[in-house]
Amino acid sequence: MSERARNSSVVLIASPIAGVRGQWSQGLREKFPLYEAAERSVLERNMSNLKPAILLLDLALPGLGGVEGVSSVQKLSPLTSIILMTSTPNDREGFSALKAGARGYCSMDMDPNLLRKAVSVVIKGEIWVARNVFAPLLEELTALTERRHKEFPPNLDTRLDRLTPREREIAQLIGGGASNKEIAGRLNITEATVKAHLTAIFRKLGLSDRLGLALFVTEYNRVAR
Amino acid sequence: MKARRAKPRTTKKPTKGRGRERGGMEWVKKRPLPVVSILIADSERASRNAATRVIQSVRGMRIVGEAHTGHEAVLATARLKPRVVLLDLQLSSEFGASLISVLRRRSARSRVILLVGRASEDRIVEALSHGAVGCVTKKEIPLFLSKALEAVASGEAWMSRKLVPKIVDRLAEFTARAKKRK
Repeated sequence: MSERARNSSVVLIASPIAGVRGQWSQGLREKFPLYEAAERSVLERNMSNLKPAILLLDLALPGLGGVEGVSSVQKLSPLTSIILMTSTPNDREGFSALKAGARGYCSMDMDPNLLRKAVSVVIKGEIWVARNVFAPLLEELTALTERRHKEFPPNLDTRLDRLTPREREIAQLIGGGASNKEIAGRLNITEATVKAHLTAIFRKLGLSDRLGLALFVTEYNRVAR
Repeated sequence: MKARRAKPRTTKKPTKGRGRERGGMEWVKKRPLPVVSILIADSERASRNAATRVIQSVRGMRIVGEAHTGHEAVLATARLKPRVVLLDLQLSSEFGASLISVLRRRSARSRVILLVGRASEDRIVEALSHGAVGCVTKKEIPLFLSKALEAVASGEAWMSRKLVPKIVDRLAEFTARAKKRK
């Protein structure tokens, strides 16, 4: 978990609309020291001076410039966790909000009690987003991981190094679907010797049968290529 | 370790009393839902049984196979092309390359949900980064598995909220690394 420990539990509320600020305060007033900002200049001053634990930030705040504006606000107080509030939540924007560094993305008219829960959870270092955002988040993670594996292939399974050259040869033939008899003919050894080699291979690789070995070899070759 | 063939299980079809216990307005939309086919790949009998109980109690889901080892899981997935594979996290490290990417290559339509016994968050996130889209701890199978299955079958992901910061951190690492290289 990322270190976001702060001494205070100050919550800064930033929205141009007084009614909205009032609504958010409802659930938070008793638990957290609250400060408000109705415009960007006040927000900036409060961020630098108070270094609040949480900033509830209305995406519609004039001068913010949408989700991309988050990072410039974040710079004023790097340890503050920013929760973005929007009247029109959607998964894609929630996803970009997280990428921009926000620790939460909520609907503006969220129930006050739920908002309090969200704030408490984010203070503890967690992230609050709708479950819908999980899917694009994981997609991105997988896509980036795969791309990186293409650029820097992961370490090959070192178990194959435990095999002798002869055993490796036999393992490759099994991977190609050869039978014991075929292997014996190919390598000019008896079938009994092939079987003995196979037993050793299974033991060294921790596998139980030739099907598993065939699969192991195919996947190994795919990574090795 | 003994090799067992994954055997397809027949499940009772919930024909009688459909949605009776659900009450409410359920009867309004009576479209037949497509059946979600599920492969259970887990070496532990207890969690297989727990998962089976949940799946049998849910309408529109059917267990099409069972696997007890990683390579059984690969073979069964390639053959049955299930919509969802419930995969024991333990099995996912049976190969050098991640088993999850292998499964996805063998059956592009299959989605993997991890069943997690005891494992660090890092290990879970690692598995998710190879393409799993869901994660349920074995203890929580009775509580959350049906929700996870429904979410994943409809294209959503399912995991604990607690994992989100780890994932966001990882994404940030990727971006930072990409910037450095430029």
